[in-house]
Amino acid sequence: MRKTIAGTLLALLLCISAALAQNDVLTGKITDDKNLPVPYATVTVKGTKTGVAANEQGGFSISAKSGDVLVISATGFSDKEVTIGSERTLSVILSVNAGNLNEVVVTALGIKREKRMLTYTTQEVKGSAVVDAKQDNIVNALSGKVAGVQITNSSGQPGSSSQIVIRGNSSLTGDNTALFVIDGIPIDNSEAGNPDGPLGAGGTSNRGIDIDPNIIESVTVLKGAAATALYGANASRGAIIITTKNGRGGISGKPTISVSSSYTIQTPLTPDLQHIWAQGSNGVYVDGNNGQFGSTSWGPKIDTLRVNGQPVPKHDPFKEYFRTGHTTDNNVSVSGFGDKSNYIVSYSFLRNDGIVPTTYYARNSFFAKYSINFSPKVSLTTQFNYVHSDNKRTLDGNSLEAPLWTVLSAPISWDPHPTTNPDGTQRVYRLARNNPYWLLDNTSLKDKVDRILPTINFSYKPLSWLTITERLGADMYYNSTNYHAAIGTIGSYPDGRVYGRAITYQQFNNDIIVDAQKTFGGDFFTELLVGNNILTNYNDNKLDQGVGLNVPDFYNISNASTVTSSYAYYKTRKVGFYAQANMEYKRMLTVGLTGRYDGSSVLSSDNQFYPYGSASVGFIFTEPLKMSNNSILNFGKIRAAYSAVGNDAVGPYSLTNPYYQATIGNVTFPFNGQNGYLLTTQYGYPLKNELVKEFEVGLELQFLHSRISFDGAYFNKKSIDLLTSGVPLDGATGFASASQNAGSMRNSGVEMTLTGVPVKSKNFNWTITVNFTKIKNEVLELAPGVPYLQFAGFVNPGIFAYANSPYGVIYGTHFKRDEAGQMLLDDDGYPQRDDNLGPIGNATPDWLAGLTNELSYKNFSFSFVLDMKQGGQIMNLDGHYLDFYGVSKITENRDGTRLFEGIIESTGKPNTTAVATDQPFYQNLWSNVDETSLQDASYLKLRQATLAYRFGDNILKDSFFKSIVLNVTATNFILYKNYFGADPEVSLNGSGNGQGFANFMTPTSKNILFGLKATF
Amino acid sequence: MKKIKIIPAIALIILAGTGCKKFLDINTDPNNPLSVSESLILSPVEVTIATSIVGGYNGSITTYWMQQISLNQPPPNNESYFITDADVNNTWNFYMYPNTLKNLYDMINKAEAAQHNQYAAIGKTLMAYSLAITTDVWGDVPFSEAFQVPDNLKPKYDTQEDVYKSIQNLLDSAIYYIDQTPSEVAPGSDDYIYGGDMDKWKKFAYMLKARFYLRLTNAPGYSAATQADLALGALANGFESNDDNALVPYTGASSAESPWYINTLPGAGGVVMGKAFIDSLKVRNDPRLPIIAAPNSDGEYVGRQAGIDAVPDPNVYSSLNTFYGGYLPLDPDNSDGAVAPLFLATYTEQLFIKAEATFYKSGAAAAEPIYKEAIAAHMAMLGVASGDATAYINSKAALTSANAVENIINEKFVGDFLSLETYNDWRRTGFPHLALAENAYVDYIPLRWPYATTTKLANPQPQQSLTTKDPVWWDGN
Repeated sequence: MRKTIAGTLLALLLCISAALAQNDVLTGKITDDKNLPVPYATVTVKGTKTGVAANEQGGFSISAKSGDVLVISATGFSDKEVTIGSERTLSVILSVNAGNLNEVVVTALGIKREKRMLTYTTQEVKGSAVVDAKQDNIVNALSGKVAGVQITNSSGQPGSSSQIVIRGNSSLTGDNTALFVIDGIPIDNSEAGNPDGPLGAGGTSNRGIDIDPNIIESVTVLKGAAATALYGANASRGAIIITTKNGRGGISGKPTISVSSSYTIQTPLTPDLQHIWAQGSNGVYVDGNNGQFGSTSWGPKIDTLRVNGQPVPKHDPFKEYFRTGHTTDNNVSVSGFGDKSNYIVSYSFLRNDGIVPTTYYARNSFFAKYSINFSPKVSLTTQFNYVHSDNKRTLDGNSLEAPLWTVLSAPISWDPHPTTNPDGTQRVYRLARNNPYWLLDNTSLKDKVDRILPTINFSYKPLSWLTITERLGADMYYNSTNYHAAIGTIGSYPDGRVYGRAITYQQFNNDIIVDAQKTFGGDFFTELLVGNNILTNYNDNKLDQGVGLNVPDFYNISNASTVTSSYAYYKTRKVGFYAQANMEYKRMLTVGLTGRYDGSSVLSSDNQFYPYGSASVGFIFTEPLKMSNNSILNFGKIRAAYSAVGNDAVGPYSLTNPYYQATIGNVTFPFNGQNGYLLTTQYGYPLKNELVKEFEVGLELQFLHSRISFDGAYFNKKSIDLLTSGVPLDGATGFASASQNAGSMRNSGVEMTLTGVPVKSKNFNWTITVNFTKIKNEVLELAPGVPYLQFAGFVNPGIFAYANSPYGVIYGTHFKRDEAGQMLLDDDGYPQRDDNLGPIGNATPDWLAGLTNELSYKNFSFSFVLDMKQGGQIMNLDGHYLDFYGVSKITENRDGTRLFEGIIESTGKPNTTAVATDQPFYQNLWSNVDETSLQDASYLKLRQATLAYRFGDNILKDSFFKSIVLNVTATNFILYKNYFGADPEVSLNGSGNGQGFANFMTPTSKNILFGLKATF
Repeated sequence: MKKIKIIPAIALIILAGTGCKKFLDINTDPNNPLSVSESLILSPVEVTIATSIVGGYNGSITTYWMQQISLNQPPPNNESYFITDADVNNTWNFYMYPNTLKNLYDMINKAEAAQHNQYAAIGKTLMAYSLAITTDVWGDVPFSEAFQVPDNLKPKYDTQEDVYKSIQNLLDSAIYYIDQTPSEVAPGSDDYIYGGDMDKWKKFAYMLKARFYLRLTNAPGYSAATQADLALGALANGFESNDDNALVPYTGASSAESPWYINTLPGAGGVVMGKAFIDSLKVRNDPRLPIIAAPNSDGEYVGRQAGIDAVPDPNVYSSLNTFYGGYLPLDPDNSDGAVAPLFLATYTEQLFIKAEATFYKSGAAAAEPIYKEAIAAHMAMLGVASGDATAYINSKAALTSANAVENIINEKFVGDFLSLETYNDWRRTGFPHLALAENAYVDYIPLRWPYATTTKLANPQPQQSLTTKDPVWWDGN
């Protein structure tokens, strides 16, 4: 078999012959050696261009005559050749090739290549695994499955965002998240964010949430710059390459109908709070139920508390507030194929009614794809994806309009109902805060998205070795965000507020790719590719805010006494020319070269264009040693790559110093009939591209006839000339900060994936996959003379970058310590707050690991995914408030004492005196030191455990079902944490930078799901 | 022949490449202007000074430390003298230097180049006014080397003495421009303070000259008598009545409320009247008490002792009344405070300056009628019934050389209620006598602010090692 699989597939795509009519149709079924169907295998007639793909159940039909040889290949199995006799039905049994030696993966620009011959790291996740993860957000579906990738879900709000970072943060203030590509077209995965900012409102969705997992065939994660260099600037942070399903599979000419449905029950995770002490101060009860006010729970024990001789009912404010969430997820798809064409139409409806009352996330997605071969040389694929989503959230974060504030801090003696007093004002146990249930009824944050992703892929193959591809794709969405808060909301807008934001986003991507592939003399295979890319992006952003509402319960902008509007339009263009050369020798040695020359509109005009590229090599050393049948080591490959990728990670219009319409404190312009502008406070230096230089070596090994396989990589990535905004300037220069090329960062680390098949038998199979990631991140330098800069949070606590420290330094107040780190205590033995602020922690984890187990026994299968994060810290600002209010668990022991280890500062002697940990201690000292709210972000989670049962063919054979699978799945069970909040996987900054910061966040939930999938 | 087919494809790519440069030249911001007229800068700068500075953080710190206003929050906090570099960062790095001084700097340059004399004059007056606020809280601050990005990222700090010379120069220059032929491009309703009335701006400039001359009575190398002379000379051209008061008006509409209305909303955390101030008004039977303060939930005037623990219900304290912008928690439907103006300088203050300067020049007896006139001006500004005002003024003890400064400043302290001048006068004269707050974080009332985080970070200068215990240069103590 000289022809590579890539070549075969290409031929398949392009050249389904019209001459097949004269042959008889042969149908068949492909199973593995346990008689389980092998889905989506490729079936070709050897020596011809005839080929089909099998369906999900392994069924296929192909036109072939007696004497033809069918070649059947499937991912994860050894190829098999079958010579056709007179039979018209065929059963093919493939044997498992655990090492996936001939696996075909999708690489940059949608080019399929044999994994064996790659010179860089990729990792593939099957579409079925993405679906099985049962996550509304596709980013979360990848958790624990891919080495080198860190995923952080931000909140338990429906539709909340999740951050995905590949091989560590590499930008100081720019986007650090991976590029998303669907079928060769880059798509937007940004997070619009709340107009009020993340600190006081929490995050919004990352737009990747619009991707329906049901339409995904596979996800390939391209990790290093060598893999992504062809994609250009945006992929220097790694890329998530999504390939959608097509209509192949099933029986030619007959549609396959597939239906799946699931129902999920969500139970909120809970933080540790005290449940003993009632509202009050210094042990004296404050009766918040009867018109007294007090913010704290430093009252008496509730069990013995009597008011007018009656006990005070005890509440669990947290549990009472949340409800059981429900998710229904339904998908129906119809697919089919013929000789020259194939199609798939899919519709999904997902609805999640969140654990916070009134909240929901609903997503309708429609996907259609049609491919046709007009002639053996010309083919066309058109596809269209339409997504409509509705999301209603409450605010998270440090805002009086965030209900969690008074859910978490409510006294256990307080009955939050009724929510209003007889005079119509809010009924709250304290002043200056809102009743959380009143907020549920009187505030609303709604997010709506309509998105279309059309793609046209036109391919012309004038010569057997030459393919010209024209690919045009668009990503267009309209995202409206509407908020209202009623008259009477405590906070900055006591007379109520409405705002509406509308984002119109349009991105157009065009690639022309000329790809030449030729085998010379049997030993040399050469691929040469040149192409051009044009990427245009329009973003139209409109915000109307009205304050001072007149008519109660009426939330139209016309009801506002003061209206302010803003409008912004952004346009960027990029042009790229690229070339790639791959040379393979005897399927054992590969040399790859890529080069790209990019132009970007956002950079200074004299630095708009910049070149970059990569060089890489892969060598299968077991091949010359003829070890492929060696019983111990049957495959071994080493690879090395060096790349330098340019990046223009900065928004448009960053080079000038404009005037902005003024907003000054509460005052918005126009004010008093006059408009007004103030100069920007950020100085814009001329900008050039930043550069990511990466060296990577890898080792792939397969042992025991591929029963054990290992893939490991070491990489060392240095990002220089970082495009940085917010570089601090002394305001006396006239500007508070600058945007400039400043600073550098290094990420070095190892990624390892180990797969083993401990048991492989007729009825029982067991596969284990472990992945491990350890990345050392270091900010090497910032702008000259700048030792640190802040990029998220409050000043203290805040999230900073410090030179010579890992990214994500948590900065704030801390206790006084000597140089040896010993606590310096006062004469009574209490710790002392240090007047000097500084770094107190870091959000970057030490290592990440994932474990996937897949067991199957006859028709049962069981799989589970464990996900572990070790190290890294979180600033959980809840601690600051809840310790002060006396509701956190730690304050339960308020009549106790604590011996602080340390040295009495005045005497230098070790402390031996235990001190009272009472109300003054927590209020005046403990809660005022940021360090006390710093928490370990480590966790071990059961991401997912699925038990499935597939009805046997003997049951289904007389029914009209082709298959029925039932499953029960559990997701997001925390097995270990050392964190007083609900879930250490949390980020008030959503998917943005500034991870490791939480405050009044909706907890996540543990979920139990029941699912059914059937095909007809 | 086969190769010929490749050529069109390559040609297409090359074609796409040509004109790329033009294709990419789209980076012009369509959303925000790169240049605006002086008029569009002046309006927001005036509001910044009023809302973000005088009625903003500077106002809060001054009134807490001077115990006119109190914050019902547990110590340590700003009121109990816990103040950090980060606390003052927004004032230095946004409101004062970039938002106010840099915009004025550009506005003045623009106006001078275009000979828009009125804008140049107003710009310089406001720059002098703001620069003085800056140096009064921080001492040595950048000015001569400021606003020079990208050529100078580390402007040195000028000595406070030099800054004060610059302030007087700015005011002299402002007066010079007012005396030039007025430009047809003239301020009007964009000038919230005086509506473009340059006669009033001239009086304001002279009034400020007097204020800043008198600031240096104790400064090393300066004498009270000389400064008094200079001040009196300037005052001759200063304010003539309350009609000349420099103030920024607020419409009270949503997003246009008076700063102290915002500062005293319930969400602000319990900002109430200070005990020392309320008690002093009560002791003196001052008729201004019910105009300045509103009674507590028991109908009484009770101020909050600075620095004590928070009480659950701040309504046990008197709140700021609506004349100065207060939100009334016991009368939430009353939003009169939202339309209160923010005073930048008053005729009352000018008369107190005149009284003090007259005392230095001509003695207590000469100062006394001016001192009483000053009280009367404030009473009139507040709308106190004339009988009550007269009775109060007549009850005041005669000024003597021993008590004159104390009595003048004590009364000026009321007349300058909520003004940043109270803190300057307290540091300069030691009056009024203030007790340390309870639970004081340091054992003194700070004599200056710490330098801000960002200037320490991005522009290290020797003065940054000073602590809040170190007096500023003119303090003289």
